[in-house]
Amino acid sequence: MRKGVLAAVAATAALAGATPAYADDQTITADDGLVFTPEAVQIDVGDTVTWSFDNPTTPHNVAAKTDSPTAWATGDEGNYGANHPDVAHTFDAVGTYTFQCQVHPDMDGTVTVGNPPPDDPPPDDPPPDDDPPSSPPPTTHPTTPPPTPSADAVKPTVKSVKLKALRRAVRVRFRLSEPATVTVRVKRGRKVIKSKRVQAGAGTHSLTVRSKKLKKGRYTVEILARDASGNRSRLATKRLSVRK
Amino acid sequence: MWHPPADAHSRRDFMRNGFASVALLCTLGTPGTSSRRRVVTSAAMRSQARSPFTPFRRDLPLIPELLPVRRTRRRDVYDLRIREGLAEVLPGFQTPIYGYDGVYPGPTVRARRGRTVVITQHNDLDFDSNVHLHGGYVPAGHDGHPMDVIAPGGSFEYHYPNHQDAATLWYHDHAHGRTSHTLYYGLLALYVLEDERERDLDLPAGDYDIPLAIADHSFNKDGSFRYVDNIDLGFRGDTILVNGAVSPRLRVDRRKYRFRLLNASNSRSYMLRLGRGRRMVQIAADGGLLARPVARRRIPFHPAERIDLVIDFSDYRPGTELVLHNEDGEGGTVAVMRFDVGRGGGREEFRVPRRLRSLETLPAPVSDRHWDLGFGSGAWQIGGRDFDHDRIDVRPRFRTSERWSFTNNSNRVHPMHIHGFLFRVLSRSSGPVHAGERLGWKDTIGVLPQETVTVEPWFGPYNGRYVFHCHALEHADRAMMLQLEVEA
Repeated sequence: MRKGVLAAVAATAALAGATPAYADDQTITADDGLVFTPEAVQIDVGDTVTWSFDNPTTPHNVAAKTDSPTAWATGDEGNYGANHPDVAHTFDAVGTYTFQCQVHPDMDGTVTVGNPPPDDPPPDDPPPDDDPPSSPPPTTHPTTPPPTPSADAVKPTVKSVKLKALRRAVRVRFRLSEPATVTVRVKRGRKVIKSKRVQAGAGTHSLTVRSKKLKKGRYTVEILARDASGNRSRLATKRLSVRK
Repeated sequence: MWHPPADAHSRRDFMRNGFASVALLCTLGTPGTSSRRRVVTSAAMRSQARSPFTPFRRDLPLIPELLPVRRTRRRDVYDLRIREGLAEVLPGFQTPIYGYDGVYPGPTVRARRGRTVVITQHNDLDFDSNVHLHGGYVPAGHDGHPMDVIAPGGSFEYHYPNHQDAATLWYHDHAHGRTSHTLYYGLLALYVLEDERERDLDLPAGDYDIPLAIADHSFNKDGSFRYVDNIDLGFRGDTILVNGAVSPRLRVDRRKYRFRLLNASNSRSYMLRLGRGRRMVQIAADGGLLARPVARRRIPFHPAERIDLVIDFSDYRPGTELVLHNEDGEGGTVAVMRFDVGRGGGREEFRVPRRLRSLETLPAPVSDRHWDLGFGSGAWQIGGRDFDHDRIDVRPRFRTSERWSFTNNSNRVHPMHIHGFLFRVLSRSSGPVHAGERLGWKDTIGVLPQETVTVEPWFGPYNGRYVFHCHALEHADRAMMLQLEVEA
């Protein structure tokens, strides 16, 4: 979508040599929707662009993008709200100026400023389509970086596995070397008849796996631990006979 | 301020491709149809093999249950570390997360009414954190007020008395101004409270009682969660995760199951539908069992709400694939998960009882309060005010009830949540209150655009300072929160 708009801008810009496409002062409007109309305007140096808001419910503003090809500021940065007052800016230099609503980063547009004589070269290339996502609006937020867990290559270990057959249940005891998510599977042959997942700290634990399918027969209990860094223990297995 | 990762640049291409492959597969016929016979072409199989976003490829993950470090006669003692970890959300990728014990979603606590749960939470992160037991009757000092935080390296012992009815609760981070980030990156878990009364109803239990934490996310090329801030709409992801897997599948027996649904999304509301509008029986809301079971075909589901459903799979033939849809979604946010009905079974004595509980009668409300919800100057507001932790905005009297009406003057849904107390839903200006909301206790209520919702909270059993706020977390973090203090 934006590519199309930019292509259109580029195409119009290419024609600029033939016909003076640079207009006078321009108005860009925004209502409760999530677009600026039009998304791209072209003006001459010294012209003014007015952003006119009619937004009784949806908060908006107009701010210069931090990665605008020509660095600038609208003066409206951080000032979002409903029923937003109009914002005007007079452009005194040739360049490509990109802007956005900080509440809705995808709501953006471009002002292309050229020189008044029609035979001037068209402005620089439009900004690349692959511009990184616009930065979030300024807030009073505390800093919360995304998680970057440090590498931990130590695998958890499961030891001292003890099983005890109970009525339609098996009690599993094991010792865990570090906090981990432990999956206990009770299998008859290859078929898993019951699986249970618990979160446990380092140390010895006991848990009971219940299933009506635990009738007389031979079973294998498998225990696998996975720590918070994704390291997996060796599979601990132990056999169990249920007599009744 | 939080910045998107530096190489987000190239990631966008991938995301686009990711969407394209999901969209392609959707057109091949998974969501929206009961897809008994799916079109299988080699191209479809190849793209299915490639895209980690293909719905119904992974089995529903079991959320681990937390083992206590100690049990005494009257209390269960747990120990948890709030830390970073890696989760395998997309097959073959490691997603960095914040998690309780580094697990996403965090380990489920199973509590019994009357037995105190003590959880020592250690903050291993390098910023403040705290823990809010959402929906719990918890003394104010243990509620996780946004200003009561655990400093990095510190710890706090949360005491949960569990003097309340059985309910599906959850716990999550509530540190001031950063909840939208921390919840998104994984600091959430379920807290299932059980009691004798519920046990006597013989509802599906054990393997047949399954929590489902539903949240929307987006991903970077390296498999990490991608967060894009939007203070108006709130975060909107392009992929639905259930228990940390992309639209998973669950193989079910032909019998009744209880599902405890939690909307763990930052800001997304869902409209849930099973298959083409098959019957789901709602038995509980946020605060526990409803007075009677309520049959539902479409369920609006707002952030932080919980709904317990009984679905009877013996109504379906073996081999049926039933998709739980989100009618309000698009692309990768339509298919929530799929139930694959197994063979055999089909005979079950159990019926959901016609009466589940008797609801307490509330004393007559002693006060009427009105709250306008909307966007003020640069922040979301309740009653024209931003959050100020030095100001108490309302002082209800202890052990009384009041009538609170919320009027939404904006175009966004505001799921309003009151800490520490439960309420009943009295009216909605948009139409009658659905029995699923009317016949039970709630702690969070979705106030739709331009709607007025009236609720009746009961200010007990604990007094003190709590907050109430919008649970669209991008709104809450931008000041849509006020303080209440109940004086004894």
